[in-house]
Amino acid sequence: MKKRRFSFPALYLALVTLITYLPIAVVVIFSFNEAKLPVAWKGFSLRWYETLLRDTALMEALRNSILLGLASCAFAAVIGTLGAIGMARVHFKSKGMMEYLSTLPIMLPEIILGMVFMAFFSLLRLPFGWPTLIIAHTSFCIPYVYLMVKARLVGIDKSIEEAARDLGASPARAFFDITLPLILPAVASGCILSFAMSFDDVVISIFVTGATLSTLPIKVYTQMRTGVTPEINALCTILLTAVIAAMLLSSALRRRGGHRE
Amino acid sequence: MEKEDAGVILELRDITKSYDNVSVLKGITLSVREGDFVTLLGSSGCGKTTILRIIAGLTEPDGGQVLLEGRDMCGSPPEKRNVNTVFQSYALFPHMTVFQNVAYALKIRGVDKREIERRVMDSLAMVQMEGSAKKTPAMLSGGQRQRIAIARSLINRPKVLLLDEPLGALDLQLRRQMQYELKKLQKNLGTTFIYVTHDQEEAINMSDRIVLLRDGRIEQQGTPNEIYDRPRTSYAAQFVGSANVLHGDAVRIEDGRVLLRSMNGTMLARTDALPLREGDALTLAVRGENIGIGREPKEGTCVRGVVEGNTFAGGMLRIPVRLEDGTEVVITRQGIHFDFAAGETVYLDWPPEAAVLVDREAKP
Amino acid sequence: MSGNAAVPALPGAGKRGGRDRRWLCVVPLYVFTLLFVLGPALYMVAISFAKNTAGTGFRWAFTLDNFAKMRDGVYVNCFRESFRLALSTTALNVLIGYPYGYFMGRLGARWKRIMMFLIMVPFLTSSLIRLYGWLILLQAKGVLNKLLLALGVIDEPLKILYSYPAVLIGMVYALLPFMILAVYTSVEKMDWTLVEAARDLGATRAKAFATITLRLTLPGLMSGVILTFVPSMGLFFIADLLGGNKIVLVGSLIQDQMTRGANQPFAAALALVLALMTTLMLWLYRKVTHTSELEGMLL
Repeated sequence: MKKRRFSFPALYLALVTLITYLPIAVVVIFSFNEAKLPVAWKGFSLRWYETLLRDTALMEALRNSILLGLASCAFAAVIGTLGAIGMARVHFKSKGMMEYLSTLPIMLPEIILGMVFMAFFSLLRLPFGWPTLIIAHTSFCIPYVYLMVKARLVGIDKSIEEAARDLGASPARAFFDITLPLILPAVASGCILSFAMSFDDVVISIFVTGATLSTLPIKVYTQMRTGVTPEINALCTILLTAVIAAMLLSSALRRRGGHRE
Repeated sequence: MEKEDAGVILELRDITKSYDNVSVLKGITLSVREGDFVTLLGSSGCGKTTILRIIAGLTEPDGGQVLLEGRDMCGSPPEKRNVNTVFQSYALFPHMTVFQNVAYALKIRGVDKREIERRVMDSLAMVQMEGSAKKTPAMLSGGQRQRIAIARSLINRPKVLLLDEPLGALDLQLRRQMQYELKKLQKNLGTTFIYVTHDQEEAINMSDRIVLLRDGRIEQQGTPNEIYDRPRTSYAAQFVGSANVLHGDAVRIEDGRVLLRSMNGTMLARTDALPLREGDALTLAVRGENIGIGREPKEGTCVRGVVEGNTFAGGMLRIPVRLEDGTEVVITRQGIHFDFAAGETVYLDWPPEAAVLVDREAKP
Repeated sequence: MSGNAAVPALPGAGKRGGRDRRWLCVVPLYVFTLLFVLGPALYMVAISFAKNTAGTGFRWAFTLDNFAKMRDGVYVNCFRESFRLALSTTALNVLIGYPYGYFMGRLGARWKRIMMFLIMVPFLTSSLIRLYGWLILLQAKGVLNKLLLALGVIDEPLKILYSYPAVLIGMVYALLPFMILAVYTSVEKMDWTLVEAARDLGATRAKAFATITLRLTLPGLMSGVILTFVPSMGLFFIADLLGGNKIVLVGSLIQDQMTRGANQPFAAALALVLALMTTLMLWLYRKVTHTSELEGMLL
């Protein structure tokens, strides 16, 4: 029993995982460093967290990113979920093509999406800023929700909803009582993934953000090219904590929605 | 027969249905009397489930009418029909407890909370599942889910309960027990059951009437006894009770029996007052248990064959005998004792009452 | 009870009455997709054939100039570099990610969950900040050099940052989770009795792996290859941040043409070529695996 612990697979998994966490650990550690440059340890300090909270530009970027993530994730949740439900019912000739097109945004390299949106939005004379950002982000959030919900719908026995109809539920009632609760975990997972993708996006945002609006990744990117202060480390540490919390929440949701026939 | 005065509760008139240009139902006309246990029997793909779905309103027929208590149900959605279904997969709501599952129909109708509580517990008691009210379907065994599905579909006191192979997923022993319980439940409630199965044994054990389906058409309908004793076609004879089917030409007709001759020998069958003429090519069906076997021919009314071996299954010994023309006749016997060896030439005979003429209409 | 007893029995009346209007649900998706996916895509194709004019604009005229321009040595080189980097990234990801996904798929349920969690956390954390971690690690006076110097492995600091290896490390690191998840998903689905059967029939451990395991996890592997290869063609910011400006990839080129270069038609032509290469890969994947969805794309 004891011997198996030192098996090669376990060692390999541990080693690679460790390397994966190395850069993150470095960032977190230096967020508590007194010094400005992340090269030497000058003593424990929370000063960068204080600076971060006072850095209005960075906080604004953070706020923008959260709002953007929420907005595009909400649009994607509605469009993607409805789309998956509808697509399960229709047999249009265009279905395959539409499915391909609607998932295209996560299949193509982001750079193409960014470039294309920039050109297209100038054509439409859309003001660069919130509208363009939200549309662009919604476009690559939809596939995550759509594919997640679609996969869940496939797993649901069709007769479950029929049973609700049979017992006296109208189509709408059957949907809200039966189908919706069953796909909700998938919608939630899709939303979390969408939000994470939106929150993390640099490439597409750079093209469509315009001059006045900045998201967190854009801010970080510009800083990284010019000069980073440990505020970014502090921010990263906070975000990491948030991600871990969100992950725990999502796995709890998943386990709750995980019952299968 | 004892229910001759009972009213017709459900009527199907010339129902047709096709999927992707493949005709699944080719004109089904059927009436079901109140309180009957009716079984739609047939092999897979015969359209029996489609009929059930059409009655439930889950599938719209292409043509024909469904009349429930004399009212045309066409276009009326499943929630508006006083008919409930027990699905093959049980279709329990996985995100609800057993109690919530059973209560669902009442909740939709806005029944008072305490009334719901009472009726759900009654319903669960009816299927001996009172103890599981708080469990989720995932925690139940197949047989228990089955009971919940039945309790759920009966809570509304439907006029007709539709059951789609409800015992299909259960093992043999549990199936036998559930057959008995279902039948008892149906008798007690007096609810009309329409039951779909491909298992002839189940059909015979439980039904007041059997509707045998073949290829989207009704092959024969009647009481289990009628279908068992007087199958009208060779398909019915083979499907219900796995009868042997033999061909021959009518040689002599007298006293309600007919003598047939074929290259295998001569055979007797009852005529059932069918209009027959000498020289007609006829088909008869005879069950394995009624066939006698001997080493010597009997009074010239027997067929000759060679024993091919024997197998024991389900408490019965099955003895296949190959006749001269290549037909295989299967004789069945209780127990495992059999005196004839494989390869032995034997003579088979049966009383004329045991052989019934089939396929009369089908013959050109 | 239904009150419409008087309704005549028209064949299929219920169907035509259209009780189930659920197909209406697809309308928002259709509208959005046509407007903001197909529209931009067609526009991109259109302007890739247009003529660039001085300043920011372009003139509608059918020309192949933008594609012809790509034959220029600088651009050919850029494509070649991008390809080389994408291929190396993918190859390293296969080498590291396949065993990882495979071993992970063979763990018990509890450890699977834990590993999944450990993979997802960095995956969902800002990729820029993780990149920043490497920046800290790799710089001349960074943690790695200090460690190696202290251990006496090296005598003077290594110049890893702003070099090709640094970019490669960043790319592999950013895309590894995709490979791992793709492989893991297909390993998870595997029927291990097949491997046992192969062993039972006389296959050696290696032979059974090559003929059964590898074959059955191929869709996952292929999916991982696509999920790492396709984005690596366009992740210009990694090359930008870890490579200085020594390495110009197609992604950087498109961005440059779009912004500083102000040559939209050429940028569109480059993007079109990149998109076609991607589509070709997806098509090949579909041909080989007979499935349309990429395995493990969604956790």
